[in-house]
Amino acid sequence: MKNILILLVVCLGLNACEGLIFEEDRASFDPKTNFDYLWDQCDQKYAYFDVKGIDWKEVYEEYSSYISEDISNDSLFKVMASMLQQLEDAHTNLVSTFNVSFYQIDLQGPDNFIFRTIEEHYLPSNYYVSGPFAHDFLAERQVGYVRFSSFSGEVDNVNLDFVLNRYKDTKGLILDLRENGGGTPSDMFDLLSRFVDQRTLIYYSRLKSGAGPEDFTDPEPAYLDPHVGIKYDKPVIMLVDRGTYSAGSFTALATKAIANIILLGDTTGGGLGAPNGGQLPNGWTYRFSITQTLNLDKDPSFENGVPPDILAYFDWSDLSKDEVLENAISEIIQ
Amino acid sequence: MLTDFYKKMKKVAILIFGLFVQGTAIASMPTAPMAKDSVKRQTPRFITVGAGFHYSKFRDFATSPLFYDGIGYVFSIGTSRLNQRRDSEFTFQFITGQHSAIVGNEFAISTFNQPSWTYSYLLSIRKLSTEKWNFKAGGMINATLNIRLNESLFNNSFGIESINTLFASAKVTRDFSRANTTTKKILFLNFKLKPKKRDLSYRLNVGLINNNLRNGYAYLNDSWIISDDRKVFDGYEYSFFSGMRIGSELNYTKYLVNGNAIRLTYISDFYNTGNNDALDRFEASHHVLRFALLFRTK
Repeated sequence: MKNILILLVVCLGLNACEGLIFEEDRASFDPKTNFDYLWDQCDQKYAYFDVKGIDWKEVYEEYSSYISEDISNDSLFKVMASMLQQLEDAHTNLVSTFNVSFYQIDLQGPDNFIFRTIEEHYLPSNYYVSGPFAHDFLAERQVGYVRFSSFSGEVDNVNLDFVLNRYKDTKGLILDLRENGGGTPSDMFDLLSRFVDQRTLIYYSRLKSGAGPEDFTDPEPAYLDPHVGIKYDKPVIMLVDRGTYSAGSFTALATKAIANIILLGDTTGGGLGAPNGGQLPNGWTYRFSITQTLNLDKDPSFENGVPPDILAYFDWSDLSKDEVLENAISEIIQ
Repeated sequence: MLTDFYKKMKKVAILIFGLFVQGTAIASMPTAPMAKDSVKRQTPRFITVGAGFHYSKFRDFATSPLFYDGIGYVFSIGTSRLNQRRDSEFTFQFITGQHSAIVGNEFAISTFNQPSWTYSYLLSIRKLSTEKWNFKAGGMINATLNIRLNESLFNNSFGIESINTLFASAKVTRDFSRANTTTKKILFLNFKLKPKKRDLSYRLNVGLINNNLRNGYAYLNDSWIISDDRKVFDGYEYSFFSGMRIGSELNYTKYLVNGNAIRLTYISDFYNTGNNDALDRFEASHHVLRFALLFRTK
């Protein structure tokens, strides 16, 4: 019996090894600890300091001076959120149970879109909705108009086949991606595969691979493979604006490599870095961009926005007319 | 402190490895009376089916400095061949549960699933063994996959890592079977105690070779940006001799008259992925309480 007891005591004693496997508990409400943790994570992993000309150490000097031991949670959140605002990146958020910070990229340019104008003055009242696409004929059935408001992951062969088949006899197609804030990039591949007839290099992507500003993986090429089935080979005008963001910008960037798509409107909002996700010692969560998307010249500067081929703006003095859309119709039927 | 512990663990590992070599050497000495084939034929085989509970705790510095912990269910199935001379066991175990990190008003939940495969082979150290005490040493291979889902981590919500370990193992078994029927008197009551076979064993596993497959520096990969399908292990890195792992297993086994057995098991499993750089280190511990039925097939 004594031996068995010794055996059990040894067994339980070895469980003390657990403490040696783990480092100390890092949970903390200390304002400086949390501020430093967030700053440090960005410092090591954020992908666009150089492209945006941000001196992150200077940002630390400025914002850390607002941190004191007795700062309230609300104020600490505001200071840290303001620090993240300096990244000028809508893929950046700080999230707590009482507030969520965000960067409004669409306010960095003029508003270029109001769907009510299109609904009231261009589309029939019973326009079609096929999955994520709202669409119908314009300009006496010479043009197909397709509104795509979000990359919701709903693009599939059924709705795309229906849409493209319906407008197969038009002179051209307008894809309206204004104020499309992004979503699932796989939608982009499904959509654009209908407008190419051969494998097309559309951009490159690279990931942060170390703490240095130039530490990235080798650029990986992104290819678009043509869809086998219904396609559209006539001119396509894609409408974009500052609210066209993330997957919307990926799509805008990809059109630069596709001959029969013209980008029209305002420069996109950018958002070409994929955001990560993480947690602070006080339980708040955050995200920021940790990849770079490069154009065909391997230049990452389109993070600041993909420029249109034709610049066009909405005139807010007359809400019965969408100048951007008018411009696109003219391009097709001219 | 951690460096000292690594040094100590290295010594323990060398010691256990020494015991393993010695055990192998002793076990492989010629045995006169019983032929090898005869022993093999007489070795009982079991299919083991078990279920139970676990308490687990983990921290993945690549996404959070916080511990996630919680309880959940454990299921296992395996085969074993056990006798005085050797043990060989194969076990598949599945752990599942929801773990949480709570700091003040902030909380996050991570779904945790862990399939693992284990094969172990132990040989008796006959110089140390007696009729009641049996000492064995040998090795164990374990492949563990951690699959985690934590939606509060945005694009990093899905976490997966593979931890593969070659252990040196030592096991001590105390046989406290009752060979004959005995009578016991408590106060004025007489109890007739029938013969029964049962044992208690304790096993220590120390990781000799700890390998892991973990995410790269950025944690996230960009396969979903450059193509229309997401490749889970894209950008992952395999690390050899990285980290440490130690575990133990306490078994109480009672054999039934029909040759089957029941077993109550407590398992502890502690590991980390090594890199002292706190940017992407992974740490975990699992405490498993499992009840199993052993069906004798031979």
